[in-house]
Amino acid sequence: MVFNNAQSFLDAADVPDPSDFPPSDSAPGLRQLDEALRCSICRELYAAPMTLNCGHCYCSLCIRSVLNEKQECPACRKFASEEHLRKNVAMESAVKAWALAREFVLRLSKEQERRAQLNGIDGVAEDIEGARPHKRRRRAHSSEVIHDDDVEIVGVSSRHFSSSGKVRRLSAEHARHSSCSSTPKSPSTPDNTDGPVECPLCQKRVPLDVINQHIDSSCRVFTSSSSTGASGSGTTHKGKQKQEWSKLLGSDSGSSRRAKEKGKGKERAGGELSEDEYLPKVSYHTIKDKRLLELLHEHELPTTGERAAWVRRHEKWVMMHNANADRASSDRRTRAQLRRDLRAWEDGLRAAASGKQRHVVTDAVAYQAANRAEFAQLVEAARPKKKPTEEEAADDGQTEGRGTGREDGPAIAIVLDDSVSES
Amino acid sequence: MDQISTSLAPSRNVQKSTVAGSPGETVGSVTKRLSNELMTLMMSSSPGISAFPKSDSNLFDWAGTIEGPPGTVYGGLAFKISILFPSNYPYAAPTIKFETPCFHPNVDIAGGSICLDILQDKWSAIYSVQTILISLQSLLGEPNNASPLNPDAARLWDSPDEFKAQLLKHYRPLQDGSSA
Repeated sequence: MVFNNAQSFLDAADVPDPSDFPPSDSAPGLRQLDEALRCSICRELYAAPMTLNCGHCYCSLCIRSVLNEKQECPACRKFASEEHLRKNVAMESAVKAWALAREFVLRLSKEQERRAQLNGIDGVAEDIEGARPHKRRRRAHSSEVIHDDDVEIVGVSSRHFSSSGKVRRLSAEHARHSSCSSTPKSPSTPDNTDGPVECPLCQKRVPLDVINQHIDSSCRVFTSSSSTGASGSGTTHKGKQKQEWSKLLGSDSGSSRRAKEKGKGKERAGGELSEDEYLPKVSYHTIKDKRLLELLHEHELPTTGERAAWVRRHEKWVMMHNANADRASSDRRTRAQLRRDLRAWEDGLRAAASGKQRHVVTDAVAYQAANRAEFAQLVEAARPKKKPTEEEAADDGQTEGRGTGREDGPAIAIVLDDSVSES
Repeated sequence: MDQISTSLAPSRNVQKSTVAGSPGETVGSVTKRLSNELMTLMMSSSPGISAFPKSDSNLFDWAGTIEGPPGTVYGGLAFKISILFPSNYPYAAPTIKFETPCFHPNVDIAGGSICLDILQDKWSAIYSVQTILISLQSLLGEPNNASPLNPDAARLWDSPDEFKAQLLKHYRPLQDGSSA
């Protein structure tokens, strides 16, 4: 019976996965290819693939969710944090192409497999070639090498050579990039005490003299206050000292400035926050309810539920938003779509939670009365499927009669029985 | 549970329309991943392990079977386990318990809870039901006697005859026909 359930589930859900393709003896490499282009966390084709320092690659949202729980690579357990994430542009374009080609290749490989079965063993060798994408086959014809393996090697190496110049150029560029990102990584050097440092929350570069205000304001303040210091160049040493202290302690002048910044920030986030801009993480433990609500309002997110729900919602929103920014700009979702995704995610959470607490439903009759309309709908939906297995339906009715005394919602009644026997 | 069935229905349709894994990533991502795991389990023939959702309406509650590895005291025995997935799976580990009483140094004989690092602090989001079941199967033959949940079993481990006697005393063969 359990098996029947699983089988019927699989029939209903068309889950695309590498096993859709024929095994490697009839279609070499196809399963591996489909698997290589899938994230090992969600098992889907990569969405905004990101690489960690260790070289492992995951969907942006998947790895951000993991790092939120534990700062290590899920595959090799090497230390990892969000600032290590780098877009894997090559993987993204490979996935994009495969997403287009997958169905076509799948159909081709299936056709070949069928033909092979009809032709018997004779057809197999032909099939292996046929299962490959067109391009590769054409190359095999043009270069007069017939053996498959040779073709593969020739193809790969020539591509390698032709692009090597580009690779070198790219790597030089990369080196420049990494050097410029690594220079300020030594913020503790004594000679540039006012130089920018990396904010531990949002990873943006912030002048050292405003880092405290910056963190206090949930990563809002970016401008240096050194301009005010410049205007007061004529002040006495004592005055300067006082100013320094006020910078550090955020005295009244500092806080008024902060308040101004805050206002500015609010205005800016109102409409102008573009989709490729990253949102800073928020240290939820240090902010008050009011601020948290402000943050939710800012992004037009619902404020239902209690604080824990707000935090969960905002945290997920930041992750989703940043993962969306990691996508190629043509694939980005709009903020409205993201909001819908967030809502669907919350609905999913609620559903899972109610599934776990299903023993709460002790009064089956009352529950049934409250949900009659829905039950009727479900029964109606299930009826055509049930017709052919009249016997089975009758059996179910007998066993479930105990639970509800009616024939409504057999699946639900089973669950009720389960929970009783378990608890 | 009505919520579950209604929330499951649309996600299945989504899967059908997005054959090539289009970016509907957050919509029912947990159920997607679970159905993917189910598919993998059914397609790959891992000897001696199996797992399925207990009912059609709740993908978060599975029942599984592990056959004892041949050549160990558990050879020839089969154990039923329950697998409960949290709503934030795979970012948190599923809760796994032995339903069949299992006399084993790292298994609580009464409650069925299991002491295995990958189910607690060493959980990783890339693990799956399949990897868990394989780990559990090998745990049967190679217990960690250093941190026993069942000290009696850990003590008896080195005397296989006595161990087997205790094991069989607690063991209940599973009846396949019955649900739950």
